[in-house]
Amino acid sequence: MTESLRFERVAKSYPTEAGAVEVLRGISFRLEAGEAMAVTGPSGSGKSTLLHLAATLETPTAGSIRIGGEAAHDLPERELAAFRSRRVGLVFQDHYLLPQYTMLQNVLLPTVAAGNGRDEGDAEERARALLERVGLGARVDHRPAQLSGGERQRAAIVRAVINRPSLLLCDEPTGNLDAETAGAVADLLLELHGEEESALIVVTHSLELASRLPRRLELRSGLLDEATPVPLPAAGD
Amino acid sequence: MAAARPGGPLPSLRHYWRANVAVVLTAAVAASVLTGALMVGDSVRGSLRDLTLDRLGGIDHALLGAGFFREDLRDELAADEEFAARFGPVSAAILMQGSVVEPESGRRAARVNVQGIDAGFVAFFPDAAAGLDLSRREGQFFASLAVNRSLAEALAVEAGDSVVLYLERPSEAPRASLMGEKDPEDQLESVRLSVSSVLDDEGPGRFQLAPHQSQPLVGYVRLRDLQRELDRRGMANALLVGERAAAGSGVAADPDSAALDLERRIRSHAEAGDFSLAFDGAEDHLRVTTSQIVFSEELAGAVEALARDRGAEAVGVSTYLANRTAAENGGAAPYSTIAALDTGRAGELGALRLAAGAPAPALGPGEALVNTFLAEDLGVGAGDRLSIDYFVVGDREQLVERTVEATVAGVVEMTGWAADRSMTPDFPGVADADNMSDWDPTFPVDLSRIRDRDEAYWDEYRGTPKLFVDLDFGAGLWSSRFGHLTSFRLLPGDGASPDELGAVLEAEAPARIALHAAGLAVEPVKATGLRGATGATDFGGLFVGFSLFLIVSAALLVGLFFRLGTESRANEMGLLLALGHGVRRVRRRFLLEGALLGGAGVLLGLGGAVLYAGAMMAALRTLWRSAVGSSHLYLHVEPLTLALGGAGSLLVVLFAVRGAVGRLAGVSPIRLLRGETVEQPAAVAAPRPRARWTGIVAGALALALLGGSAAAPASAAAYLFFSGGACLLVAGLAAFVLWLRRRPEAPLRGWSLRAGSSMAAANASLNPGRSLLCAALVASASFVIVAVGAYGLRFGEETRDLDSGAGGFDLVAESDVSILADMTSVDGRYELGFGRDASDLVGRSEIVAFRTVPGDDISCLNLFQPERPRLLGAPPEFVERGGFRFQSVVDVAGEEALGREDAPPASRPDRPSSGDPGTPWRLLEQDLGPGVVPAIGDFNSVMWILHSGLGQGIEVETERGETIELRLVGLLRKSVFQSELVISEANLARHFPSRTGASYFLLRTEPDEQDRTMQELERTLSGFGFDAVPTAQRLQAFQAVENTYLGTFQTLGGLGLLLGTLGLSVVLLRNLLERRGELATMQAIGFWRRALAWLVVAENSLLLAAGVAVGAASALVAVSPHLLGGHALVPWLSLALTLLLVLAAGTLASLAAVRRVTREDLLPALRGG
Repeated sequence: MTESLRFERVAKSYPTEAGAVEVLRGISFRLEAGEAMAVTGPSGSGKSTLLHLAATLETPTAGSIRIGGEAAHDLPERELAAFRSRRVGLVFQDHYLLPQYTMLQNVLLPTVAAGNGRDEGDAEERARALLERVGLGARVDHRPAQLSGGERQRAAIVRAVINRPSLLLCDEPTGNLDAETAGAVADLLLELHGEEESALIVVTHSLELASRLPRRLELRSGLLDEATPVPLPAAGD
Repeated sequence: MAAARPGGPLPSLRHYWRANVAVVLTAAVAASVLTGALMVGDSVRGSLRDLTLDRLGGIDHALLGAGFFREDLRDELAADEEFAARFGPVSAAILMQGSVVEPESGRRAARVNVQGIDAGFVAFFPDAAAGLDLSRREGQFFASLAVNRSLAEALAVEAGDSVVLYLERPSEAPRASLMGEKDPEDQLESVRLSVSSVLDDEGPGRFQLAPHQSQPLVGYVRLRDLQRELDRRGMANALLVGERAAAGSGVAADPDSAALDLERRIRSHAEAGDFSLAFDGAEDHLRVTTSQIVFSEELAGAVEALARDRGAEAVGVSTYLANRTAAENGGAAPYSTIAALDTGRAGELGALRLAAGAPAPALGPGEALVNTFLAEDLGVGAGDRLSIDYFVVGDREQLVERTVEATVAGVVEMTGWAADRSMTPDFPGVADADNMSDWDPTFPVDLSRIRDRDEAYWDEYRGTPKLFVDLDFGAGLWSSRFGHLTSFRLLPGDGASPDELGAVLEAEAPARIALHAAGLAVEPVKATGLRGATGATDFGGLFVGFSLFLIVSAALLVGLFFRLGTESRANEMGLLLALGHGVRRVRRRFLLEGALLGGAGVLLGLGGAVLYAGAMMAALRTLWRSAVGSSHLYLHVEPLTLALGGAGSLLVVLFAVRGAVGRLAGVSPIRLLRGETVEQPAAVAAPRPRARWTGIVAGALALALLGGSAAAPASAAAYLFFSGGACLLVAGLAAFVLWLRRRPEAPLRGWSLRAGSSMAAANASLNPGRSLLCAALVASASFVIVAVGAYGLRFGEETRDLDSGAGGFDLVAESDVSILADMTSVDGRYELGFGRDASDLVGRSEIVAFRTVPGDDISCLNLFQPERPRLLGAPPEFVERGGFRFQSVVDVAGEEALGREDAPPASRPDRPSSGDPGTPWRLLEQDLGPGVVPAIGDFNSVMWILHSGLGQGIEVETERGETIELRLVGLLRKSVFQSELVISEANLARHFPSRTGASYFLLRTEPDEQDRTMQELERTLSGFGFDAVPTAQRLQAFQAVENTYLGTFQTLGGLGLLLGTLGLSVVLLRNLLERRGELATMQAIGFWRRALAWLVVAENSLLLAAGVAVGAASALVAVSPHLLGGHALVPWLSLALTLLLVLAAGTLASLAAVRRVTREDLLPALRGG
């Protein structure tokens, strides 16, 4: 299988007035293409930091992260942004849809960032198809404020996959939703993950959601839980 | 404990101190500018008041005479207890205007106020006693002249230097009358004087009665010296009087009543001679004569009324001179006096008898009686025909010889009035001649025609009339505007003797004759000056207008900062509402905070107002001096203005605060708790009807105003256009907001300009209120810059064009002494002393000479409110010539005719050409009925200084004391006639008969001879104080005022723009901070920071571009009449550059905000979610 993401002894600390706060303390794991994994743990255990590191939004204090075999964090800012737009899809607890844009425009934003000039028509067609696919076909020209919470989150998921990222990262994607909507959103997420063949990491407090994923990584105080060790594959695998 | 109660505003004010400081500071700016602008008005008024008090010193009132009266009147008044009870120092003076020449360098100064002062004058300026000491120093040969520093500098002289002073020699009879002195050489008096001291340009060094802020040239001579030089010993033409009540404060309490009181005191001491009257008792009648030789109509009427009231009969006599009297038989006699009177009444009285013994008959027109001497000389008797040659004063005040035929009705014996030498007044140059051949009269005589027989008659009878005609017949022949009666014979009634009657009338005359009839006037000069010091222009209003953009910017910022502050506390507001506080209570709480902050800002701003006004006054004294013409303008702080300005500022601030709180209080508590500040995101909200209706109403108003201007009078059209443009600005901004809300959605297809623009527009629509604020600030700034810039003309007019503001004339000149000689004729120039070459040079110019009535400068160069406008009399040839550019004229029906600047020339009634029968100047010759005189003035002066308009009237008092209305029948546009009103020469002569000769000239020289002609005129006519300047220079001086005001407007508008840019930057920063989550999302999606920055800058540029486009387009519409007028020289390039600067400033502001945000770590925003 193709390696999608590898964390090697990754540490992350933040300087504060009281001294550095270590959030991640040298964690290592690997995720294959098409593989899905839940990251759980109590608040403040470093789940979101892990996700942001995977999304190249933050840089590790120590260790290395490779995405699709590339050390993306070493890229200059512009290339890193382009890399992120093409290779990483992000879904947040809050949908973060931009209120001034329609659903279609929101979904197309990553294509603009990626500069997919040649397949603009394809992107729009794909966006419409995906929105149709998630049941928002009739709402393409609506703005976020005109949609329900579940609809917004579905649109946010479509936005995350529009560029066919190899890595789909979700931070509490159902955290703001009621149980029924959360279930539906989780279904959608897993369906799209399956269809798009991207690696998926879902950071969640929801054991129900975590249980639907084949792998689970639990973080405690910035360390992987020994009860659920994830063996580091041998080099060259 | 009170401290535990959470309701008070102080904890909040303390906690949010950063945001609150911004509100306080911007409120302080608004209060500083608004109050400071009002204080500029106070300061200008206060400075003019100071100038008035300074230039007049202790002088409160003045008795001013067109002629001279006894100097002793001063001492008589001083000794009068009633006078002394109310009035203080009194001084006799001769006040004149003249020119001074420094003979060695040839430097000359015209329009010098020359004062002949007595020892008492110093009491008005006690601090300047040393400088006003005019006694001769040891070894000083010439009389002393104290000059002020301005005059000393103009002549480059200092104490000890000698100069020559040129003055107009007084003339008893009006110069234009037959008996008036017309010879230019005899018209001027030159006096060699020694400069004794140089006075500072203040106090007596600024003395002038006319209210004007400009520094006059002043010279003082001892009264006695001036009397001697002018041959008016013991005479003065002014009494200067101080009032006791004014001594402390400098201002009299009731100046008008004091002036009346003073007039009563003067009348009680004045003698008939002070009213130019003389009473001489004869055997059977009282003879009344005037030192003016000819009685004016008013004076004659006054004498008749005096006589009538005393039961005396007045027989008027008009004695004139016949140049030649010829009979049909060939006999002729030169220079005989001819008396016109009621010969029938004289016959009845036995004063005129025929040689045959019968009483003289009443004569009809064309009949004459001759005395026995003339009958014998000519060999004529009853029934013979006579031909009589005599001079009359022509239209242009030239002497014209006329001839009248008369039939001898009889021969009178030389007894009674026929032998009375006093029938003939003392003609100057004639009366005191021993022989006829010694005559040096005021009219041309051919002495070779005088025969021995004539000399013999002169020896025996002097000027005794040889001919008699009927009074009406005689008056019809030689009466002029100065009158015709030369004496009265009063026949006492009730058995009184002539001497008794004389004594009574002599006592009554000063009390009963109107002062103006004798050319006298008592004027409360200080009160008049102080009244004028309220100013022709309300500088307070003007500077509020100039600062309006700055005030509005500051007010918007107050609202903005307060709104941002309250929005950041939205959750606090939501919490309070959720806890059960009523909306009103919450709103009140925030309003109270706003009021406290605003109040603190306003208090702080009052201090700033003093600084702002001080800075404005300093700028008026220096940078903007060409608008005010004085460096004596200083800050004056009036507590009332501070209070009013403070209250006004607080209202503005509270209005802004109320808007901010009201908007937030309308949001539901739930949203507020979430930190949301709008009920529904604007991006999904339906367009508010308010924006739509604002757009519709403003657009409709704009159309109505612009359309209405086509039919409106020219004077109103500019305002309508400007208002229309302003409405268009509002409509444009409303349309922009609507577009933001309803812009077409463009799909995002890749990273392209179109996609970027679409995203920028979408981003701008996120908060239309703030976007509108930004666009409105920029639009207003652009509107001001373009509108003002388009009006701010550089002077580049071709003055030689007939329809220019100079009417095709190159030079405009004025003289201190009226010039009677006709400069357009070779003879006239010869009389004036032009050499042959100079005469040829001047003769090649087209010259128009205007009579003038002195008065106040009504141009924008005079800050004082003029009370009596200066008048020019346009001669007929000028009226026929036409020229100049008219803003608007009335048509025959008196309605305003189109004089619009954008009307095509062919259809314009205000485009005269030479000989054009339609020249509006002909309106001056319309008969508008009794007491109404058509007048033409410059639009700017009439509108802004006189606060009048086309078709309206301005009341002025004539020399006869009548009030006439000057009806404005035409308004010129940016002409050289901005200091005066123009009426026809005929009307000027009718109502101001004593104004003779010309003292205002327009000249059109040969193209390359302007400088030489100007130099030659000034050199030859230096004694007249002739001062010529190119018309372009005069127009530039007027234009400079306008441009300075526009510059002021632009400068203060620029400050407003600066403030606006600061606001823009704050708005943008606030927007970006609020949108950190959005930016972080976009970053997470894959947008790199520079792309985000680009998007923000594009969004801001969209607002800037929209603002500039709406503002500039509206402004261009607003000033389109001016642009289409054909005379606009719009600095397009600098305008474009300025607008680019606005864009650049706005973009820089956005870059600063973008830089601040994009440098920040945006991830916390994502975590926050």
